[in-house]
Amino acid sequence: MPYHEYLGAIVAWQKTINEGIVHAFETLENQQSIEVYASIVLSAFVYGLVHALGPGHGKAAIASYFLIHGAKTRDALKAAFLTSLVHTFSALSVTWVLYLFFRQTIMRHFELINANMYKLSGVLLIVLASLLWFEIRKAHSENALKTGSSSLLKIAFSVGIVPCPGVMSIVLFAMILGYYSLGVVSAISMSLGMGLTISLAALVSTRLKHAVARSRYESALHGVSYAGVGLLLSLGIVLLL
Amino acid sequence: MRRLCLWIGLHVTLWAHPHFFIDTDIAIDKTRIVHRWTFDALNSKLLLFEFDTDKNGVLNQEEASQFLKAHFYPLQANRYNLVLQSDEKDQPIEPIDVNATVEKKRIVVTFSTPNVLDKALMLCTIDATLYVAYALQTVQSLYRYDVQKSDVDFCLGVTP
Repeated sequence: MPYHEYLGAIVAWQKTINEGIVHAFETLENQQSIEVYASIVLSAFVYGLVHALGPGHGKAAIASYFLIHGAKTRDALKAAFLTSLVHTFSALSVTWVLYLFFRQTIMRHFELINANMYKLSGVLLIVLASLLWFEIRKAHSENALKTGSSSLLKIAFSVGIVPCPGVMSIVLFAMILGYYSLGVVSAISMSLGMGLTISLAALVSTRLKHAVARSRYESALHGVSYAGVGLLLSLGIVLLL
Repeated sequence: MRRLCLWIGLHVTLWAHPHFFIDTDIAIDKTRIVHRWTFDALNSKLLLFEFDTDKNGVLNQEEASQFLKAHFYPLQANRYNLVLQSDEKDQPIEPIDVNATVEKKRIVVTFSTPNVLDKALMLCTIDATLYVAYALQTVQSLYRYDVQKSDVDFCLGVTP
């Protein structure tokens, strides 16, 4: 399937789910039922899953990171879900603060914060790429490169700090209608959906690194690691510009 | 049409995904092209929360003006997400009769661009950053036209 068609299909699904969520909230206004609550939470999960299928800096950064570290499957999943959680909680916090204190300019402020967070994320990715570059150079063998919890947190924070506008939209929509808890639960559900999709990028990258590690070409292994650093650095620069 | 496909393909960004969905209707006559952008219900609700200050479900003149100032006129930097070419040359884009209203709880922005159709015309609506997805709904035209569209953007080739 050509890229443009793939992108079109993702957008069409998102639009349909978006309309479905609006319709479900309208139904909730007239008929309070557990089924409608459940359908909203489930729709948010699918929305997150599909939302993350499109191109985005999160998957690219996570995939680049695991080209360098090539960690275990468990670490790949942990990093992906951590990233989507940070992405979601960043949006939740910003939305709550704006809703409480900047109600009359909420959308304008969110866009402003979002744009600046992208730049901050770019700076963090550049710093992370530089640190990883030094780490690779310092390591005498690939076995010396360990993926610790703090390392996973660094990449999750660097990528996820940008508040997700999709989460913000759903949460704010729920809040305007007075469904505060449902908004938060939907946001968490959406983050799980996004986490699942980001996991795929992390796992593919990890498998690629393992496949190269099993080959007898040590130089290829170093090449993949440096390619990961290069991609992470390029991504940081693109976000910063 | 091949050129249109190529143009669309080249403008698809790699780093974003849409958060606004806008249904678009186009009407082409002898002197102008009328563009009608209908925002999705979810984002309309969020935008009205901010701009419908008297909370009566419609945008009065002042509210509409504030909305356009924040969400339409800044698009000038990106030529209002339009490409208008006559005889393969870019034409200036200066929207006139710009208005924002609310219909069935959705924000609708309408505006016109002047049309001097003496040569083949290409009109595309596309957000290169992909933050907004434009879906073409209807076209009314006095002239023959071809359409190339997706769920993200669209182009029309109009022949006088």
